[in-house]
Amino acid sequence: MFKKGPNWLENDDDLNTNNIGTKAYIPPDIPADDSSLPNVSGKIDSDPSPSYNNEGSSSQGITPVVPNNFEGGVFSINHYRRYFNINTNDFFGNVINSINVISIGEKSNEDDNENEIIGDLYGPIWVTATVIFCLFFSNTSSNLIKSWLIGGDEHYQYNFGLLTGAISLLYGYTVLIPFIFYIVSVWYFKLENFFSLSKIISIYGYANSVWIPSAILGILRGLLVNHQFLSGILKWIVVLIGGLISGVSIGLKVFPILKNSTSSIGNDKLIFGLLGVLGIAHLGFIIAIKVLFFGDLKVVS
Amino acid sequence: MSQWKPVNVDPNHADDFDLEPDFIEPDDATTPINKNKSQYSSAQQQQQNQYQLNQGQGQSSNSFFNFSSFTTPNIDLSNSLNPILNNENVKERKFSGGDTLDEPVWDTLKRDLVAIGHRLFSVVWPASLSKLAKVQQHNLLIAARNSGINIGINYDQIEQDLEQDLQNQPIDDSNLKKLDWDLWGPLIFILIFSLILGYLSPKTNTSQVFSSVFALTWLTFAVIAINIQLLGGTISFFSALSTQGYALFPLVISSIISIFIKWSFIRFIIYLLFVSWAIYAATINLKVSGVLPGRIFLAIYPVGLVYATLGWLCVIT
Repeated sequence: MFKKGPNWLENDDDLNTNNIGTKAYIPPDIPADDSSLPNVSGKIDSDPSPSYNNEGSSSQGITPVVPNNFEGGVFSINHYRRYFNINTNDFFGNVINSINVISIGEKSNEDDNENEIIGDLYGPIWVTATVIFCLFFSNTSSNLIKSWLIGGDEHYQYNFGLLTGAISLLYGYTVLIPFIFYIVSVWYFKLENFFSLSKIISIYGYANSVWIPSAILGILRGLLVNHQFLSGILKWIVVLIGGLISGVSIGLKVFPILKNSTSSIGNDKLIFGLLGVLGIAHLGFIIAIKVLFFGDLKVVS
Repeated sequence: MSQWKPVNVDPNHADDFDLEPDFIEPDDATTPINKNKSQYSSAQQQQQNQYQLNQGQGQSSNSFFNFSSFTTPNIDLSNSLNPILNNENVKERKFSGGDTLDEPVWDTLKRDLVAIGHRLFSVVWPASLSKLAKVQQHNLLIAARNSGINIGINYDQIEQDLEQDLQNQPIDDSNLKKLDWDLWGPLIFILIFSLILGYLSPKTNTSQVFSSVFALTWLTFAVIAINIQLLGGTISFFSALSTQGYALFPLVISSIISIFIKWSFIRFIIYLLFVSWAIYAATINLKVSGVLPGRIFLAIYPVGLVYATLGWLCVIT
């Protein structure tokens, strides 16, 4: 890159105090002449030190080194990179995998690699954030359309509390239920060969993705302003699509491993108890979303 | 004065004046000394040059702008200081040379203002960075391949394309100064944006909207910056924060427009336009700052989500 100038800390051959006057000492690490400028035109320097041209960078890899190990304690950010070790293609694969309920049973037996065991936390965080935005967008935009149709859009005022409420509800459900499920299964019932906690959270997070299309479908209810009954039916359809598909997706992914674990401790009935509790929790979640974003529970309001 | 007499002594006979020649025996042979000397003089020359450079154009003399420190960091204390900052071989320090003690205050301020202007320009005209983004992505691709990271990309094919592009048009490295970060952009733009949203909202909950938008924006920007850190690459936390903050600029414009335009449909069109502008600017800037090639979508998606939410708040107030 540049002529190997005197390294002012290690190489004390040329320490010369005459140079230090009233000016601050500037380490001579940066040559100002033109020979140091990046050589991108393809010409190779006679200087063997790493240069910025294509050959130099590709053969020696002097470009920024990217950490590829997850060393470090729980307080270092590198430790948590293992939960975010995911590419764009993997991410979309996971999303489609969670929406496509029919083929979940076939896939769950195949993948046993590291990423499958750990799961990833990118999905739970950002898929859930997307769902929050979509539900909020659906709610406010349908109200906006409604007020247009009634006449004059100055009347509509959005409810900011809706956004914060949605954040608490969705993140609370996606993190708390898997957490409690994990604690109860592993510490109370002492199940073995169980999921890692991050994997359950990952399953729950990706299962939320089906709420996105259903929330966008829900915008249509703004057009049904004069048809109370149809509007109520549409709201229930939207909520049930989201709730049922996400519930089935969670159930199908949790079932095989849960079955394996419970049968290994010889308590086959436990699986129905645990799945039943998860189902009730999910039902509560569906009802909460219906109340918060789609009016009350009545079909005709 | 007149009583002073010069002493006439022959130095060869006087013991008191037995002077040794001013010569220190070298440890090594003579050639290394000459080499050292020439090295030293070139170093002095460089130093002089650098000093003049600093005097002449205080802004662009940051060592960070130079590829030498970019590729081979000399002494990077930030590695030992701050775990949040240590994921960078890109040096991100404010000013590393020259004499700032006795310069006029106006010069100091002007340096910061010019830097802010550069970063703002890279948001207003993101295409100015696209070539640099290409180069950076190329380097990151190679780095990822060398450290064995799977980023889901067929290395060979993309590399060929990039090298061809690079050979056709060499880059202009003066653009590198835009890689520097500061927190002025995020502060100013978030402040203006939440003030306008608070002003637009109904009188009863002005303060609630202002404080919620202000806090939520900072919080989500911080979360996204951590998210980008977690996805790997060479970008630092504050660099990501700065990028997001500056790319908020189009949304600030759209919020100002929505003060004057009350009709939601027009607002919605403006919203689509300005949010896509902001997302494009943020994408280019993040590419330059060093997000791994196969994960750009994952890095930029949350940013787009937050911009969409904030812009939507502009539309519906």
